[in-house]
Amino acid sequence: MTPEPASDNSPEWARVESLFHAALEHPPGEQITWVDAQAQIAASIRAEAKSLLAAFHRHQVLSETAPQSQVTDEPRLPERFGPYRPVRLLGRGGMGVVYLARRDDGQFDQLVAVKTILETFADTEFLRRFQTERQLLATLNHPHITRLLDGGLSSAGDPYLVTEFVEGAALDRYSDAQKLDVRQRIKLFLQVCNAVGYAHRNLILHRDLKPANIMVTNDGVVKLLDFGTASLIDNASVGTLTQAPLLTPRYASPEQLRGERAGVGCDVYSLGVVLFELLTGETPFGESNSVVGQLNRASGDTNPSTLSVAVTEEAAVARGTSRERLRKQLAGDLQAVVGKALEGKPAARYQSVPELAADLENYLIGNPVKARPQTAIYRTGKFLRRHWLPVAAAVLFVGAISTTAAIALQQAKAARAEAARAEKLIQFLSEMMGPGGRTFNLEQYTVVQMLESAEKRLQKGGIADPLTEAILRKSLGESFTIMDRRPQAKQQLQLALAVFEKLGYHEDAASVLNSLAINARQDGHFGEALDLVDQALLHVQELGKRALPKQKFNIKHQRARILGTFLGQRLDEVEATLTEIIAMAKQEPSISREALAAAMDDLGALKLDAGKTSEAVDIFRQALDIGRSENPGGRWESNALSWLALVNFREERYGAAAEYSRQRFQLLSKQLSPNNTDLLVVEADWARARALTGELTESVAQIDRVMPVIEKAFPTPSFSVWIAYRAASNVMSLASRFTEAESYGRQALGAVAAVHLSEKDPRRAESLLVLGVAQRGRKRYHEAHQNLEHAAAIYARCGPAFAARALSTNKLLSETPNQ
Amino acid sequence: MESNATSGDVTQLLRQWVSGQEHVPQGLLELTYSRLHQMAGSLMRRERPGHTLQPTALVNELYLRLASGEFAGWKTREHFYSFCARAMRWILTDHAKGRLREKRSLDLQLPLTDDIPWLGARESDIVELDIALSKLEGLDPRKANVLELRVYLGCTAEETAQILAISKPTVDRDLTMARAWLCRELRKDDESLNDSGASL
Repeated sequence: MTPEPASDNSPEWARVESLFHAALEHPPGEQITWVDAQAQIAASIRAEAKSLLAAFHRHQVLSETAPQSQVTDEPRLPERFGPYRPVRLLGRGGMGVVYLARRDDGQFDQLVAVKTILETFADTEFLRRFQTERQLLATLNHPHITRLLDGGLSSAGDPYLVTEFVEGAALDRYSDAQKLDVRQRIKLFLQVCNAVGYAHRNLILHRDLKPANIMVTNDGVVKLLDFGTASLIDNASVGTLTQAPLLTPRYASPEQLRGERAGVGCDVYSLGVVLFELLTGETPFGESNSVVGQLNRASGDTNPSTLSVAVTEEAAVARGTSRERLRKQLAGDLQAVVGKALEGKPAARYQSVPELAADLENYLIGNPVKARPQTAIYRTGKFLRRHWLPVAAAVLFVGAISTTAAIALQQAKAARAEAARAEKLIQFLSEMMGPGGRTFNLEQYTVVQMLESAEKRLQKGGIADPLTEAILRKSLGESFTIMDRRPQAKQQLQLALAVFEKLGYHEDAASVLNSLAINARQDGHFGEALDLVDQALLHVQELGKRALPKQKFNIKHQRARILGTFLGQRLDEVEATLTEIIAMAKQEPSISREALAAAMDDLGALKLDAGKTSEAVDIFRQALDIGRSENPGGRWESNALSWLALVNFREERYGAAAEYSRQRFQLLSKQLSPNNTDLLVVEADWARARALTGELTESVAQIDRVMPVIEKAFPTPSFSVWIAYRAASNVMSLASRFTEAESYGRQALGAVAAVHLSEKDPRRAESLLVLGVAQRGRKRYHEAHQNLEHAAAIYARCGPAFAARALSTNKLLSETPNQ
Repeated sequence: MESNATSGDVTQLLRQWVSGQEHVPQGLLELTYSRLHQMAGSLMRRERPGHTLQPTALVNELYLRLASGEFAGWKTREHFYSFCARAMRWILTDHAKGRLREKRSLDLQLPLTDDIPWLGARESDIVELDIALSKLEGLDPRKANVLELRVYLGCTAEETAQILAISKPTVDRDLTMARAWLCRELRKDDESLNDSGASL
């Protein structure tokens, strides 16, 4: 570091200064000797430097011995306040002293807090405030607000307030002492919001919310203290120059700092600061309490730091996690929520405390938070996460790349090009979610090109840190996985894996192996997929207790799917695993309820295939209940409904099947645009059930409307709409439109072939069955016979659940001439 | 007198001002006043009966000094802050002198910074700090400025660096030397500490 020259100073002083600083570089005990040894320097300069060095050490000694707090004069405990006798001093507030006291007039034996006004502050302004607190508190009755019990004048004529005594610790200290994690802290904070929201509903603003005013009892119950600065909404005193409001600058909103009229927004802002500190342990605007800092903030010149940047190692420990993990957790949604509470302009903040609370609850249950700009990229991200497609990773990846590239190249042009590409990806994702539904062809969009250009950049090298490179490759690999670019995905994932394994990053290694397993599974290499998942599990075991429950859940679920759904092996083991992870997810809030419901659906399906229909129905109903209680109308509710429809269909209770399908269609039609292919598939399925309950006309009309849209979206048979092909073929045969029925049947079979379903998968049999029925209708008996025979053979190997199906297929077969 | 400054106003005021306006805009003065008021409140930490300088009084006086035409020629925001620190110094020193003259105990606490915790422990410190600062100004005005902003306005190293348009390492370095110098001036009689200090 080069000090600026102090040119106006005398040359002697400058020499003293440099000698002084040079000496400080040496250990304290050697500094004087070192200066003495600098014989080339004039003795007078040396003497002055030595004198200053001695003074500096004196300063250090004095600083160490100086009392930390210079508050003196412990006030003596007063005799009594009416029927209350002070026991000890609890603390000092901005304007008064608080005592722990006991009511000793024999009526009650109760510990209370008695708050008095300091003599020196007992001017009219403070007395007015005191009166205000008394009046306002008296109107509030809430479990999270300290109750006002009494009040009066002491024998000396000083006013006092009596409130319930809260034994506990301030919000921040409590949270650190209990090592609460982020979710637990948010839950605690929601209690605060609850109390402040209640006060607001009673038209009372707190105006001085800060951790010191928020106590938590030993039972974890929040109690809001000190309404000494509270005021009525709309009656909030306008700050005047002679009556600067008593507030704590660190938690005050810019408009409060400017002395303007306080509104609900002030409390929202203060809550934002409290939340920021609760999450990070740091303050959003640094420690400065100077006039300069406050003026800058009052004029809206400063922005809060970001949550993840503020995180320290110490804060992470107090939250029972690692710094990196805490950072990850605080980026994104929580950052958006806190940022919105801390907006400089009140109009840009949450408009009420319940709105802030609602968004935090959204965060806790994994719903989109309102604070996030409702851009396509975000909504899409949430949507895709729900569907377990980490496409969001692609977006993040591109973001990371563009930043890296921009810094590396230091070229605005390159940065702009990256931005433009990112923009295209966002557009692509938004179109995917847009009114047109899934009416796109992946190949036509720039996303793959983008990923490929990112891939090329990585190949060129230039990222010095192998770990960073591995993280980028991981994102890239996961993105390629989603885009069904399996060879490229595998290449990137394997390169990333090598680094993670070498560095012992078990968490990342496990997640890369899991992605590799997905690729292998999609390739139809189920054995290899199983092997990869088992390797991933070894890494999870390596992590021991540090393993994220969510990751453990995902990998075990994946393993169960590969074994159960794709290999159809070791079904007892699959059942045990599913049962285990379902129990785990029920206890573990970090695992999304959707993931839990999906695992339950898988278990239900397993039971169903084993012929344990009633157990399966129980599980589906439970999944439905979980869905409905946590997120009524959510998409997982639709999953459970689809299974219930399926069960009833198999049992040939078409009325019930139609009813579940109708419910499912109605649910989804509220969430999806009318031409969304997911919705159209559900409608086709519903039509199929209707056709069998006698509503053939309506059913045919539905199929005729739905199928052209689906076929346009998927020019080649796709497994994701297999249900629609099957339904359409079935309905068309029932309507004696056999040519169309045959065409839909072929598409169903094509879709099954496209995903390498096992030869004995019942869906292959279903496809063959509808195709055979259609061909039979067209009197193409030979082909019909072949397909039905094939279907019957598969059904026969599908276990008890398909016994009825096998039987009816055989019956059909026997009635079909074999020519 | 109500503050009618809204956020937009203040920001605009500050911008206009930086661009070379002659006088400090009224709104900004009021804003500064209200903040200094707060700060003065924190100086009055000793809760002692019969204190004579109410925070409001302190800042009222500061406001008068700030607003008087005599000092209204600040060119920049930074310059203005330096002046605020200076004004705070004058007022506090005047007040302390008065108290000492009347042989009454002081009701002020300095400094606003944690860097010099021993400062203010003696009744004479506030007055002697002023004298020492004047002496330092003759020797090394920048160090005196750094100390002033730190002690009287509680500016952080970053803020000090910004106001004085120097780097933060320079501020840190200046402060190290200035503290040594200040300790030599104000704690001459404590040289007994030297032996233990030097052998630390």
